[in-house]
Amino acid sequence: MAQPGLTLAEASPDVLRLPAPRVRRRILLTARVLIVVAALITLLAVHYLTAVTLSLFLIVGQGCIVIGALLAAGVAITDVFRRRGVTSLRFEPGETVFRQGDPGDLVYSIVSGEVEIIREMPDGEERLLATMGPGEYFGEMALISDAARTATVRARTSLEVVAMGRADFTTLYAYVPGLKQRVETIMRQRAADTARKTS
Amino acid sequence: MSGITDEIAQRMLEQPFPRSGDFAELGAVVTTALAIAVLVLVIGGALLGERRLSPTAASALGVLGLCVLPVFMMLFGAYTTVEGSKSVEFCHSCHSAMNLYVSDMEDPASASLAAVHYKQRWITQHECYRCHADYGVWGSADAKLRGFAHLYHWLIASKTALGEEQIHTYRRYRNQICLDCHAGGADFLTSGRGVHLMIARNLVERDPDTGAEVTSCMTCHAPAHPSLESWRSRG
Repeated sequence: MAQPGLTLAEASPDVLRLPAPRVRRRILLTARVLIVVAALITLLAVHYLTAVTLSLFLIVGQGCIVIGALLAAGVAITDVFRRRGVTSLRFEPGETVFRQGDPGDLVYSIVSGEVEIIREMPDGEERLLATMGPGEYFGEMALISDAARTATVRARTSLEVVAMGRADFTTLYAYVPGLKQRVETIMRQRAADTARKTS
Repeated sequence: MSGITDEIAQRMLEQPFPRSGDFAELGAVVTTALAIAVLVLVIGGALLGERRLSPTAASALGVLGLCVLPVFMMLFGAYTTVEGSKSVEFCHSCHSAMNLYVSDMEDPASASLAAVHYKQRWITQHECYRCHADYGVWGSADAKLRGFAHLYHWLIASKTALGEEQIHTYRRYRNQICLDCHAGGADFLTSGRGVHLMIARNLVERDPDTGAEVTSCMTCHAPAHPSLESWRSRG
């Protein structure tokens, strides 16, 4: 299943290294909690104004808003970088790269480590469809078909991938000679494998 | 024909007319709407999850709910609360320290300057702030900065904040604040056989050492408020 010709890391060694998705999720959660706390404090201060609520609003509430907004802005900016150009991401063993049903926004090429491709069945059972290693790529199907992810991808070992956004990938897909045929051949193979393993 | 009886009309005149429709009230409505919108977007976005939204829509909602609206909420909230902090109710919320001053002011039997002003409704709103903030932009900013110092006193529970120690003004009370309302008034000019005009220079000219006028209004019109000692002796 190796696709050496499509290893994005080799073509672009100076990729932008972004925080791992789990770090992004934690930062976003922190920002959400801070902003919710700030909104509740603001409501309290506006409708029940005392020395206590005013100091709470001016010191804690405004602090939460400034920190929360900066964290969220940081996430939004890295999201823009993530979707434009090629970025590098690291995952811990067992960490999910994306889940079945997620919207597709990136295509990934493995630099080091292994992933397992899992299909979540309607009864909750997880079926292993494939494992992939360095040089292989995944996640292209949702981008090409503009559909949700059809499988969950999880890091089997420490994983480093490079990711490319939808716009860049679809441009390459449309213009690079032979790429479309190669990707479609692999997609057909994978679809056949998946049908066999899930039937 | 309007259904207002003499009794109702008398009762209406016995109390201050309710004020409504100022900017602080509008600020409270806008801040509330923004806070609710932020809560709906943030909690709704978290519950809905990024999975059900396209990445672009999720990002746009995130930026709106976590960056844009909260900043506006902060600005409107700051305006509303700072405006609200001019009210007597707010000053009174620092209960231990301010109880003496507000209670005396609202006491119809009190003859202190603050109580007389309050009783006669010479100042119709923000009574504490009106007499304790200098006029002009810097006066207002100065009062608000001093307000932070008051919050600090409250936070550390200082003796003055707890009402255990006599509070003093930061500097001698300036005649300018009194004159802003009284100068030019018929009663002010003619009362006491025109005494104010007789000592006009002393009321206006500033002493270079103290920065305050040579003769303070309080020289003749004290006390503005009862002292802590006299209040305690009143029981």
